[in-house]
Amino acid sequence: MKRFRFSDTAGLFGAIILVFIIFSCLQPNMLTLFNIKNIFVQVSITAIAAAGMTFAMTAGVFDLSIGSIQALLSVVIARIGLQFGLAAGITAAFAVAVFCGIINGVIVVNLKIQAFAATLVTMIVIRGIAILLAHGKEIPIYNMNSIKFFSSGTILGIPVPIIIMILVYAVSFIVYEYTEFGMYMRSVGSNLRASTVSGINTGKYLIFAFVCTAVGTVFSTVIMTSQIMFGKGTVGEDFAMDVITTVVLGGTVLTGGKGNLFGTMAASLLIAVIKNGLNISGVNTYYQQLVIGIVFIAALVLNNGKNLQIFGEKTERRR
Amino acid sequence: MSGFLEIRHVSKSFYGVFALKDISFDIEKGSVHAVMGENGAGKSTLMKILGGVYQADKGEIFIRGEKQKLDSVQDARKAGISVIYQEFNLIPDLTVAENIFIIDTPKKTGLGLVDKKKQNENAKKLLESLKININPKVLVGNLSVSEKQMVEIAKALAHDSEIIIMDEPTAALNDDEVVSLCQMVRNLKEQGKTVIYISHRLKEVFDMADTVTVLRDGTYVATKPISELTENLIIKLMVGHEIDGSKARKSYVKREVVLKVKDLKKAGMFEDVSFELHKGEILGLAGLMGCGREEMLSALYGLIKADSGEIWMEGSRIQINSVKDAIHKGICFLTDDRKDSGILPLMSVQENMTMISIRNLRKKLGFYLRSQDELEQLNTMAGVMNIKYAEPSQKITFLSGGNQQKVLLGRNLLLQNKVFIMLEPTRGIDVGAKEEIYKLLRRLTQEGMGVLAVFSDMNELIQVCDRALVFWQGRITGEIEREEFNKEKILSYAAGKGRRKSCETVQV
Repeated sequence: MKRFRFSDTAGLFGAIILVFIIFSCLQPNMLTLFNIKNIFVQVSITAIAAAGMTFAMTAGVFDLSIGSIQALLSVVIARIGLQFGLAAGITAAFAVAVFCGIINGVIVVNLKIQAFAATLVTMIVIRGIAILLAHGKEIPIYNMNSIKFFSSGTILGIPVPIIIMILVYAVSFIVYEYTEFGMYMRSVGSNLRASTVSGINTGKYLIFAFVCTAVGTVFSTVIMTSQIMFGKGTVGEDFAMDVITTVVLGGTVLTGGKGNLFGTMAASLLIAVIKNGLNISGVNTYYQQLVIGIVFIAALVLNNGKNLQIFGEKTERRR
Repeated sequence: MSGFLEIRHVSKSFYGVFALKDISFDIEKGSVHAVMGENGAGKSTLMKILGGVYQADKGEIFIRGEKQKLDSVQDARKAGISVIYQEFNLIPDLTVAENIFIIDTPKKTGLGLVDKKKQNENAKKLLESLKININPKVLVGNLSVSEKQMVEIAKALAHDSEIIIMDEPTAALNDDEVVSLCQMVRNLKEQGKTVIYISHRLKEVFDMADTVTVLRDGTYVATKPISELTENLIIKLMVGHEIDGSKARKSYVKREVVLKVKDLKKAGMFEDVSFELHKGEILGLAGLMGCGREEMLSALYGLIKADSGEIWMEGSRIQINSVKDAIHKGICFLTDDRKDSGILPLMSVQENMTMISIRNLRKKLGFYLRSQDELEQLNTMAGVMNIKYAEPSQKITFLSGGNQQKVLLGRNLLLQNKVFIMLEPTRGIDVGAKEEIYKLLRRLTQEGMGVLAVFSDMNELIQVCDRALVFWQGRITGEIEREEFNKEKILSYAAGKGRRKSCETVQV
């Protein structure tokens, strides 16, 4: 019994290889091991958070506030890390992330506010808290060298961000496919009322959905902070959009019920390969946006065509 | 060879599987033509082709001898075909009038603004001419299922179509509403319209239809005038073999009481509800729409919380505060709204089947679900109920209504349950699947399960149940034993006449 089908994502992987080959022909630098590693490290920050977001969107909700959560976490890591050490900083970041996730979830479930509106509000509030905590300034952590391990360290020659990404995806995949938790996450997104009738505590799973995205963001933020070496209340302003775009491009159904972790992973790779290739080719940043936009539309059209055939009828929005 | 509407060699396949294979038959002008067949026979597909939703792979359709191009819903409408689909295509946030005239919205000349006044007036006129008593200004979302059905019909008739296709219009209606629908169909016929009618209810077909076409497994079986047919003959044509539905059912009612409800009350919904359910008994709950029986059953299953009252299971008092409690105590529930609160549409047959039972599966390392275990459960139930599917990972939406229903039943039966609450277990499914569900009911009661069932088709209630409780305005107004079953009695209790006999108490 196979639930995951490679064919669902084959198009995306094909596109990655195609784009990669085109750039490699134009720019031989593209093919170096150094550059390939570089692409993966670039990918990891978005891809890890996108794994969490895939769960949320599978459950039929999404979280606009993760950019602000990222900013808050970067400040928390910097401040607590400087005072009590890195381990304490990261632990605190996890606690804060879980708390933010629960708050988002409770607003959606208990106050019955749509996820879009709820997280739009928390996005603003959490950003405000992050800036307040940092007193509106950058908090440099140049003397906290141990954190560098998370971006430039290697284990057996493999960069640590790549290892973290692979672990996150492996765990996510098992949870998604082979656990009751994953199964119920999907049922809640697929049909909320049927899930309620079947005795599933739907509220609990919706809250978990927000906790998943927030916890994914912790990993992303640790890697990001170790690259830029400061905490600041204004980082990650485009983060939520990047992550959501990646998940949608990866083939997760917007209305919930069907996620695609491999698609999410492939989509983040595709974006990174295109950006990297355009960079190496020396293409102007503004043209880069244009090219990425066109690729997105093409991918979505392909996805859409497939979905329409599969469902044979319009899928309806439920939440 | 020259009918009014001619269907010639129409074929349609989805992913290489034939839904319709070389269908040809004629429909006469001004007739009521019933199209019958089991679920999955291809009736709905054929109707969608006529309605322009699907395009035939092969074949042609002629109206008055002219070949029609039905590439879209608009084309079909221009050709004079209106379809009333099984699923409602109404927009809940618009008013009745806005829904009826959603295409040909009356405009004020000049600015092109919607002429609301005219829209409402036209809607009112139309509804009155159809003898439908609904205010055109209310939101469709606030209407009951049967009222929505009526609006859907009015919407189809607003276009003054020559051919009106009704895809199971009575599936959600109660007996009274079916009668008024029959009247409406007769009116249409008198006006010279051609009605193509799909239904699983044989009685209606004999009441209304002039001609019957039977399809089976996507192929054409026969077209016959109604005068040449009997109920058994139609069933035989549909199923390919005969079903003996008339044989009296054996009762497996035992003395022990499995569920006892005492003075259950929920303000504004039901009150003073007391009854006992015996092991192996099928207790039917009758009543008109809004009589409180569904709400009472929802309370037993923990979907809503009762204000007061006692629930006893096998002699011990239980508390039901949530669905989880109910499932834990051995109560399971089959919804009457398969699409909206039953199936998980984007998910597989297997996942749909095991969604409740996986809680009790042993997991590797405490969390890892082994697919073999799930597959085993699916296979068990598929075997017991003869569920037809291509593979376990097939999407549930590809299954016919009857098979989807069996999956929902199986979902509940994978746990060891004592009481089964069923709302409309045979709604919208074909004769063959119905028989199988009756057979399953027999088997369950034989094993001692107590069943609380709601059937809106009274003939079915009489055929299936051992005893019936009749509800009126949230109270039980009558209790009828199997031997005393008759329609008039049930209806008079359902209208609030008579009082309930005291229920004899049987101690365990």
